[in-house]
Amino acid sequence: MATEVKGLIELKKALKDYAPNLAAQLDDQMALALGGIVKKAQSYAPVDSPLSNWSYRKRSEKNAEGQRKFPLYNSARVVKGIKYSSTPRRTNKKGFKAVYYIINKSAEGAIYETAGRKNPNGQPWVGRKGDPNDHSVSHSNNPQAGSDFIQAMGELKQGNIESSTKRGRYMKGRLIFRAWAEDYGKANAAALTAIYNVNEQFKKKQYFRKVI
Amino acid sequence: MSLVIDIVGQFSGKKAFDQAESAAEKLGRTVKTALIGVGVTAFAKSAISAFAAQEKQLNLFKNSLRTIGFEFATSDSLAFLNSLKLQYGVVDEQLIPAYQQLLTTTRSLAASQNLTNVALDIAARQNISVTAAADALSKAYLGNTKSVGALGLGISKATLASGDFSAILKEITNITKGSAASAADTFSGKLAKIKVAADSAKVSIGAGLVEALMQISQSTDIDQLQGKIINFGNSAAETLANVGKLISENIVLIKSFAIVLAAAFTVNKIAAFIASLQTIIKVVKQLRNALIASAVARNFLFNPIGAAALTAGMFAAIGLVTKGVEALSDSTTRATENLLNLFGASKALGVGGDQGGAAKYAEGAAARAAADAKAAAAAQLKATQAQTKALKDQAKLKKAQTLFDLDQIQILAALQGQVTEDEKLRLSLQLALIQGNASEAERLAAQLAISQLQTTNLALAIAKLPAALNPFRDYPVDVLEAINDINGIQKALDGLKAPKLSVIVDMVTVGGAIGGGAGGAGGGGLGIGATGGVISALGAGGDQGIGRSLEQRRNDLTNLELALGRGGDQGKSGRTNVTVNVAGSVISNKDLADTIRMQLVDSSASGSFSSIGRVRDYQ
Repeated sequence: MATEVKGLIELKKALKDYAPNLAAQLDDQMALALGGIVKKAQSYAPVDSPLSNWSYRKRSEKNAEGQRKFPLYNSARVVKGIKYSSTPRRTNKKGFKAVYYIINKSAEGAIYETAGRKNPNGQPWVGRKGDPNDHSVSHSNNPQAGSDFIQAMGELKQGNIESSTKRGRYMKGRLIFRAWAEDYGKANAAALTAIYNVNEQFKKKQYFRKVI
Repeated sequence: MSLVIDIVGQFSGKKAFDQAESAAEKLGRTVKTALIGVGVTAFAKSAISAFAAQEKQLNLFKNSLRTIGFEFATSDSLAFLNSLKLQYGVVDEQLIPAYQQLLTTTRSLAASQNLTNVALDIAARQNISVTAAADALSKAYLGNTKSVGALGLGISKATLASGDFSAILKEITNITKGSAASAADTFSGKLAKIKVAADSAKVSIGAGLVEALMQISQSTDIDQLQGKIINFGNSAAETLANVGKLISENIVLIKSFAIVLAAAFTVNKIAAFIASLQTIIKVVKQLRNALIASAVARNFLFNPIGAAALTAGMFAAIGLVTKGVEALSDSTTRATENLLNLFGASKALGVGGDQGGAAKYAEGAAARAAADAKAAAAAQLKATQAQTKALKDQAKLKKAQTLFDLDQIQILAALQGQVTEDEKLRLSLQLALIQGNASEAERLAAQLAISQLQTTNLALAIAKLPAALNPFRDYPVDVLEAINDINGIQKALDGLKAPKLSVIVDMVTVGGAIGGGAGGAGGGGLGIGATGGVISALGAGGDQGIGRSLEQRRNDLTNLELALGRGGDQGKSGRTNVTVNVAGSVISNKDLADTIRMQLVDSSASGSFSSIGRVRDYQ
């Protein structure tokens, strides 16, 4: 979580109940602030598959067990899956609740975003010998498959996003994290400004009065 | 599968505190080593990395200036950039490359500084990086105006086509002047300035850490020091494992210690760390003073390896090199004040880059202290309630006693009767005074005073009333005269009533011959003749005639009586006095005649001689 704003959830509830226009204004301003990041992140999604064989498959989409195979790259789906939301998420294990966030929803988008974080040169190669259910190793015939895959996608950018649960390599990416890093915190500042302004306007309306 | 990047959120607390409690429960086994080690390492790495990155950047900057022959201006340039950084909240990573590029292009300190300011304005206005703005300006300075045109500042095409940099710069300055200052004055600008200041502090602490840790660890360079820090976790684990038994024996005290310790070392926020130090010191003091787990405290503070090593290094870095807990406490207080001043603005905004670690764990310790205070407050409230109940019971008893108070009984009896409002107030006031009801007595006294005041005012008002006016005083004189005339008329009317008349008739009874002759000759005969003479006299002579006639007749009758008495045969003469009372008014002759006649009849009926018939017979 980049920034904690104390009382934000309560403010949103109060706005919804007592000042719907301000709530709409806040949503608009947040969309304006974070929309730039979303657009920029969408623009970083390559139109064509980074690897030529990642975009199509000759055979069925499911394996013998009926499970979905490794997702194929689809640029439109990746772009569509990158969006911003103002619906609060569930509280995480550290006790934080994300109120405004950007999500990379598509599987291939998430792969493109994060591939190479843990293993910059691909997973350890075992080939066909290892346990087929072990997904922490590469079962490809090509020992360089993982490395080639990651190299083809380009460099991972440090997102400069501070999280309550994850740090370091978990904050690297190619789409949203890159866009965020290149924004230099302007969107974050704009989002905070929007919240601050709406809060001030709400207070000026004097919905709350001191009884004594 | 989806990837979520939190932008803005809120700490709801419960889970984090639960986890902190859970971590404390497992302190003897896992938490103490991993948590502390990772936290310290992360903090130290962050500060040291920031310091190292800045040092590297500065070296590059110096080298570039040396290359273009401006080595002599390094310190001045850095001072200029530092002032800009603090003024506009722009980080070194953007500002130094921009300035460097401009200086390289223009080869002029004045021009590069001027263009850096312009680049800041452009960046603030167009919401682009300073490096991008500086790049466009550099290209324009060299004659390539395409980048400047692409900035979208609205520069005329003619100016751009002319390639005259001074004209272009003038137009840019007119458009963007003051943008950087305005942006720095906004909320986000202030945040950026705070961030820059915090980064500077972080770098300074990193430098101090490097210095201190290098001294302690006897490292010769940063790489060697970083290697030692990475190995810190293991050494800390070994150190704390040695005191695991003591921890388990003093788990209650250690719990709070561990929470605060974790709060201090699992964060990336300087203010929270410094604030937590005070609590750490307090707990360490308890440990030491109580001689409980003194080895833990000693190891933690002074052991040159593991956790103690890095902690001591951090203390040294912020000027807290000390051998005693008291001295450490004083220094920490000063450091806390400085850091509160540093981060005061951020706290006031209620916005911070808290990572969910230290501040929340420290809040956990504070929450327990608050719970203790709450329990004490509850106990005090309970005692107050008991005291209030005792007072109420006492009041009830006093009320029961009043049933036997004769004074009150009398007043109550008086109140039952018909009394005025004022008397009722007095009685009620007296009753309140007897009962000791101060508030009621005060109220009634005020009411009575008002009542008395009202009464007094009424009496005064009546006394001051003027005399009643004569309503007829101003009547016109004519009306008064008219009233007098009416009174006169009334009086005259009253005078018109007939007076009461008395007629005395002397009657002489005589013989028949005498009566007839006398009546015929002298008019002095009795009976009808006399009556007729009176009547004729009245009718002929008026008032005077009546007077004279009656006198003459009286005289004649006297003479006749004398004559008759002397010469009458019958020798008997009688004199009858007839009194005629005329009731009412005698308006006409007939009235008088009727009255006389009726008197005569009455006289006759009473046995007297009746002359009526005889008179008639004599005729």
